Amino acid sequence: MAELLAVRDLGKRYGRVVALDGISLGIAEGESLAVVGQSGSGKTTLGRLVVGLERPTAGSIRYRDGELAHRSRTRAERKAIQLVPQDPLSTLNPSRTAGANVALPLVVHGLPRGRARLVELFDKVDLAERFVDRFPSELSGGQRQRVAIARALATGPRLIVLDEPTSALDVLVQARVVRLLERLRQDLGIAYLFITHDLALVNSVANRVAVLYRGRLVELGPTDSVLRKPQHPYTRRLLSNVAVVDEAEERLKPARPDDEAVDQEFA
Amino acid sequence: MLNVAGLEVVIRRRGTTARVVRGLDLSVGAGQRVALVGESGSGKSMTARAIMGLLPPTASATGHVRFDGTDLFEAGWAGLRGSRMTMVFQDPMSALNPVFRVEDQLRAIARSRERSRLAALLESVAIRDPERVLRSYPFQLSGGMAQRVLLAAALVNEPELIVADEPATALDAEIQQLSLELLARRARDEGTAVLLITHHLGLVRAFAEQVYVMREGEIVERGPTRQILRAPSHEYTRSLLASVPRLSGAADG
Ligand SMILES: Nc1ncnc2c1ncn2[C@@H]1O[C@H](COP(=O)(O)OP(=O)(O)O)[C@@H](O)[C@H]1O
Ligand SMILES: Nc1ncnc2c1ncn2[C@@H]1O[C@H](COP(=O)(O)OP(=O)(O)O)[C@@H](O)[C@H]1O
Ligand SMILES: [Mg+2]
Ligand SMILES: [Mg+2]
Repeated sequence: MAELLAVRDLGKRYGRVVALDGISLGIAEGESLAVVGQSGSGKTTLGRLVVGLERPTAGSIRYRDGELAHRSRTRAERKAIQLVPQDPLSTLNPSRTAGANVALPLVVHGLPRGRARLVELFDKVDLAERFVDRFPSELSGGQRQRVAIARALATGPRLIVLDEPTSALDVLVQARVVRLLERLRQDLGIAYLFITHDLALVNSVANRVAVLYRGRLVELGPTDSVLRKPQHPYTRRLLSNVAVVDEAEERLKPARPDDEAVDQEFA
Repeated sequence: MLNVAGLEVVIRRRGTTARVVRGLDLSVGAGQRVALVGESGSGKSMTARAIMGLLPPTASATGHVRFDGTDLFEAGWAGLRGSRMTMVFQDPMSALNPVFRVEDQLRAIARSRERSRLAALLESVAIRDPERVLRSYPFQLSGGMAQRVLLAAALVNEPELIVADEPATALDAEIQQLSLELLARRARDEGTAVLLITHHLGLVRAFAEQVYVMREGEIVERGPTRQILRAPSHEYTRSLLASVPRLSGAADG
């Protein structure tokens, strides 16, 4: 598969805070790459750099043949890489209908934005036409997240950064949203950068996984091998914290390494 | 310690009323760890708020909530809430008052006000530099730190009952596990009764001895956690179980 996006030695500082340091990874066409790590590890920062909401302080971001890191993006590049932001409550404008929220990127990019197009986008995320006219406050958490996904789909992207798209949802709704995302990826060939703090979810959403710890990439590999043979003590610590539902799953968890082991390996 | 019988919660909106809790019975003994599990909208938070006397103005409750034998719907929560019974809310940032330093927030509710005791309390919830945290405003704390402060606030008066409503759900698993370990230790060492509210059966398994499964305002299944997880008898419990993501492969809920 052709590489769609490649970041090399990517770094981001906020004053003296090093949010990201020396990250290198690639995403193929139509691939889903998971990014995991606990809160503060730099996941959201990585997502914001990839979609161009912020500029890196070091390194490169290549999309197809273009180097994006240190210049403004073209309209085509902005349409191609979209974001579903963390926190479905604050990401939609509460004073506009769901339809108006989804129409906004169409307006910004001068794309057709008639009712038919909105209904089509809502249909892609399994929302009936009547939801077009609802306000965000009238929607459940799972419905709001579908609207946020429809908004990201509006420009016909090739890559969507999904920042903890299911963390605020209960497990039943999470399972439905995960199935929807997988179906969209199959049907439309979109690639995902799927950010989550839940290592158990990775199996259901990605073929490869990148593990971030304090702004650095400590492990990157196929989901199966990272979950079954984690190389880095930090990955083992993340795994040891997963809350599982039966004994068979419990046996897949490594013993919890002590903090010193994690820090030593990291130094 | 806590005994809920025939609890009904009704919410009025747009001229209609919705029964969001329907005839709920539930007990938590001293030192017991009990979980109330169900999908969002099933009425878990309304149950917690009815127990704590913190329902929104549009809601009203009937039935019985007994704390240490006293019916709270008759006697009220004065002298109990915040000291003998406390609650940990889902969203730590919105539960902390943004204009007060952590130290002042804890002092405002704590029976004992010695600084050394507050620092020791913060250490007990795995805060490594309690002096810095005591001086901080909420916005200066990370989400994980704010969650620990909230837990500390719920523990400061050594309550006999703690109701924890989806603590740290949106945060990472490590903070979640840490919160549950701290609550479990309180139950074991101090005999505190703990009611954990969650949608995640993995957390129930890690924490609770007894579990109540709630759906559309009603308890559909209850019993010892091991038994319910091994052999759920209700279809709804099975679907909750099937939706928990698996290390061994995709969830199929
Ligand atoms: N705008 C900002 N200003 C200063 N520090 C920031 C900013 N955004 C993020 N950070 C810091 O960068 C680090 C990584 O944060 P973030 O990318 O949000 O992590 P995650 O999404 O994994 O929780 C944290 O230490 C955070 O405090
Ligand atoms: N402030 C409120 N006003 C009106 N209805 C509400 C309010 N809060 C919750 N509800 C409704 O009450 C029901 C139960 O909600 P809740 O107890 O919050 O569920 P859970 O905590 O299990 O997600 C839901 O149908 C919800 O829509
Ligand atoms: Mg984040
Ligand atoms: Mg709730």
